[in-house]
Amino acid sequence: MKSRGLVLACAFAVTTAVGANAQEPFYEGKRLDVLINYSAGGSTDIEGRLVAKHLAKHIPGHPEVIVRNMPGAGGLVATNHLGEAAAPDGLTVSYFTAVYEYQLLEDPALTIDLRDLEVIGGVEGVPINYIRKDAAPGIENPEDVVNAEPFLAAGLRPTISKDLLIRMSLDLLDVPHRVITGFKGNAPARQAVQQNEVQFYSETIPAYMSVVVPTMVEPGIVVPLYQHEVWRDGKPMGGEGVPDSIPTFYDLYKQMKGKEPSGQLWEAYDTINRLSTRMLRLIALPPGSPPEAVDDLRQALADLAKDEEFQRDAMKSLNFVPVFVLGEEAEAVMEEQLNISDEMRQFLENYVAEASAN
Amino acid sequence: MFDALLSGASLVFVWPAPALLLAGICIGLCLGVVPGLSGLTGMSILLPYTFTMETGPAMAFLLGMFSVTTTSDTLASVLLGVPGTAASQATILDGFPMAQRGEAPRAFGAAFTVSAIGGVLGALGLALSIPIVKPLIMSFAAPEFVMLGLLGLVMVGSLSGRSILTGLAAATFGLLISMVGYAPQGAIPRYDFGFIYLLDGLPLVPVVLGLFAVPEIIDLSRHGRSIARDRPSSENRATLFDGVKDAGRNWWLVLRCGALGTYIGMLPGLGGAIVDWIAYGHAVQTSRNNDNFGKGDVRGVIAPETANNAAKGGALIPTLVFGIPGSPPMAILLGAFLIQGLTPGPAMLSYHLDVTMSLVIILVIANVLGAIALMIWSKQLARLAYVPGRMLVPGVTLFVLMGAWMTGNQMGDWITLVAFGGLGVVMKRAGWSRPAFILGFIIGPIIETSLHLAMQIHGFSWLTRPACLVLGGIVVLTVATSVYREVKKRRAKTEADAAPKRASDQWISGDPPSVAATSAILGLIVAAGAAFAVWRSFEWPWDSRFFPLFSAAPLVLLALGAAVRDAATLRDRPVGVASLAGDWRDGATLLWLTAIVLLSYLIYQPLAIVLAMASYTLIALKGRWKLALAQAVCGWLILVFVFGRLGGVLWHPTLISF
Repeated sequence: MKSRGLVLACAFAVTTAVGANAQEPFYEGKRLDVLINYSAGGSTDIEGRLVAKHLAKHIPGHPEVIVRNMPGAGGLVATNHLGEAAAPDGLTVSYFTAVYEYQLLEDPALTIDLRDLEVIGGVEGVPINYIRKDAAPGIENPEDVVNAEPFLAAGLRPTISKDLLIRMSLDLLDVPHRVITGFKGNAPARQAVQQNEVQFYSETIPAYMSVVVPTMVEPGIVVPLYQHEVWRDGKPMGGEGVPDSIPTFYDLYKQMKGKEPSGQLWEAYDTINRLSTRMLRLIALPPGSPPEAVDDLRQALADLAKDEEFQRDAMKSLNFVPVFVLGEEAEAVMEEQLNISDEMRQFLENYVAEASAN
Repeated sequence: MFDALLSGASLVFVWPAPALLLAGICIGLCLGVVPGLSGLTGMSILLPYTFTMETGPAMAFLLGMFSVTTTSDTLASVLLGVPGTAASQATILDGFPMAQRGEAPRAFGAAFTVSAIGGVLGALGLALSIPIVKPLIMSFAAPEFVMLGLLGLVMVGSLSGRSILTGLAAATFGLLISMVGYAPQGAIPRYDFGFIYLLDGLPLVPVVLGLFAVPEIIDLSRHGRSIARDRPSSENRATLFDGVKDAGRNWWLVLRCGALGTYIGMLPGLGGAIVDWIAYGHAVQTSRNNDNFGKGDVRGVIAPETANNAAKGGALIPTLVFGIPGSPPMAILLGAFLIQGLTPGPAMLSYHLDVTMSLVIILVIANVLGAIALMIWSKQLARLAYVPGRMLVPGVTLFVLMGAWMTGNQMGDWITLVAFGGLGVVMKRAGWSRPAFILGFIIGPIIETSLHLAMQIHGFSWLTRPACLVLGGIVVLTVATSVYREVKKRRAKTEADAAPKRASDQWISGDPPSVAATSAILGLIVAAGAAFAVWRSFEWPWDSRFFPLFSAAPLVLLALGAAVRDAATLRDRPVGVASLAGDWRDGATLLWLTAIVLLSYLIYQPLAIVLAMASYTLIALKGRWKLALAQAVCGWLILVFVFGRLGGVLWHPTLISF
């Protein structure tokens, strides 16, 4: 906390010094680097480049915007870089797939506190879970999953949000399954579903709509089961752009179990879901960045959300329009959800360890 | 189909598509020439420019660029002994010795011809295999990949260099090094020593550049001579056309490697880094007279260069039809398709068949034009082989450093480069096969991940899958043939050696004592490291421990065995410390590289590189300050504009800023 105060003081000193010609917008004549924590061509990158391209015109002073990729260790390398090494000059902004689970599990590989970042906003990313129709005894509708015989679900790594959400939701529904971890990404996992090596997987909306639907849903190989709910104004909702016919996990649970979900497993699921589904991507500046930069970027993001040209472009290239969670709300979601009890942390650690033990 | 071909052609030949195709080809050729830059770099740089283009031009631009990087990558592999891209590592084995003999033009002639043929074969393969592709791809899952990985690994016999023992030790060492980072099951990081950089494992490009490029830089710097040892007399000079004739003479090999490349390219996840090795191994194993491989046999250039271009056509199939991109560049291309509003899937073969056909046409045109352009251009470039070595060092160093840096924009990439550079120098002197090391390094994760998945999904029953049985049979056959050949070779050798010589004169393969001594020392160090690796592995659950244990434990024995055997040959011929340490310039060059890394922590990275380039020229070439200045200015422009602005490189944060 002390260092945070110091950084803020320094930032204040710097900004008052610059403040002499306050008329000029902060970003006038500057260059803004958009840092992406995955390599070029991935879904984080394609989305980030699109946002970067349209963001510039909403920032007062119209800075030149350059996209840079810093992949590594599941996004951790760039996240640590932003929190520790990047200069707090307002000229480096992240477009990250966020790594909340590392903070929840207090993994030492994450060397910063995500709450120290100057949050500009977040972007929703709703995962849609799908299963092969020929998984025994045959599945046509989401409700059929309750009768399913044991099946295999694909997973990437037992500690990440994606795997946790898959396991937790299937465990909550009491559906017999085994998660096969160790696929090297969405593409190999998707391939394994096509080959019937595994039967169940989950992908977020851009990949689901643009790749899974034409290659697997339309040919009748898989059927969508449920999407993870997004909490807006205290209500569980379906994702923007996801077909209404796909129920939320919350609704499916209520329908199948006849009661509201509750208990420790549900709470753990809910924490991870509220973070990683509502704010899959994290747009932030390094700790202690100038307040003008934070304000200008937050305003620019709010304007971008209403930009019709951006929406058209997004629809064309991503098949959906990113839904932003703006400044203060995004900050509040992180403050609230990242603050978990020791008991909950212990529960999560045990739950992860169970998967690693087999 | 013919209609689709025509309307596909109309996508490619309508303005501005042809212009963008040419631009793409030029960019691709340049990217391939520079070690460390590749089609992936090009894809990620060019992708944003296609956002506003129509489908035809966008595809012509991206695919035109992508298809020729594996044609021009031959230049660096042959001329410098540094792989231009990961797909031309195997080309070095015979291409570089050819350049040293002054036969670079011949190697180029052969390589460019077969690259074009390979590329066209790949494109035809794409068009023709559309009906049969589904069962093929669908039947290759994790279990089959285990077998394919094994098949790659047993080819190590043909890459082992000085002796089978050191070859196996090098390959196992590569396997062990590839185990760094998260275990496939994903929860436990191995051999990371607390460095976050190591969690993902060591990246391929800095490791390859370190092992192959750094020793070449050091050699150039030491002897200062040009790469071609002697200028051949004008009457028996090998020309480009000789190479073209070589390609024609080996047409059957070209066809086989083209088919091999196409089908390996088709299997997602196997990727370009391995196709050249498999083709090379195939060439060695199927050739009757294979003693010359590794010493400049043109077939060793032909096989990998055909296959790596053919693989690109094959790689398009799973991306287009199943939405499964098999490699990072394919993932970007998939992104480009989506941006164009084209969704992958069966529709690419029916409703959008014209687009698929346009891709075939682009591949054919780009491969042919790229090869022709290089035939013309390479005449000038081949002269590089006659430039005094020390004049090349600053430029080569710049591109090697940047090639490594582009991997992840982190200091870890440079430290890896320099560390493996040191290892590369020692392995080169000890006669340990670096290709065998790389093969183990690439294949390790493929086998480990696939085995882990196969065991989780199927238990042991995967071993009885038909495709696995067939592949397993080929593996056994390959091992049997290499053993048989080795035995035959040994017998021939002992008969030849038996007669006149005294026992004490016999060297295992005629090595000078310093090679044997270096090998003995390296063997001891590697054995110690492997023993440590065995000990560390006992902390982990068995599924994370299995692979490290089963590569480290044999490595202890192999490395010790190599050390003991080499030490034994030294009994009668002591080695001085001076000849072991080598020339002082080697150490100085390595220190110079280290200094660039350290300096970059302090000052602006491009400045550090440029300063190092200029000071090298001033010292090594005795104050030719005009040359130094020119190199510094060119270096600065390339770093700041090409890498910084176009390439989107993120420089290391500096401690001292101005």
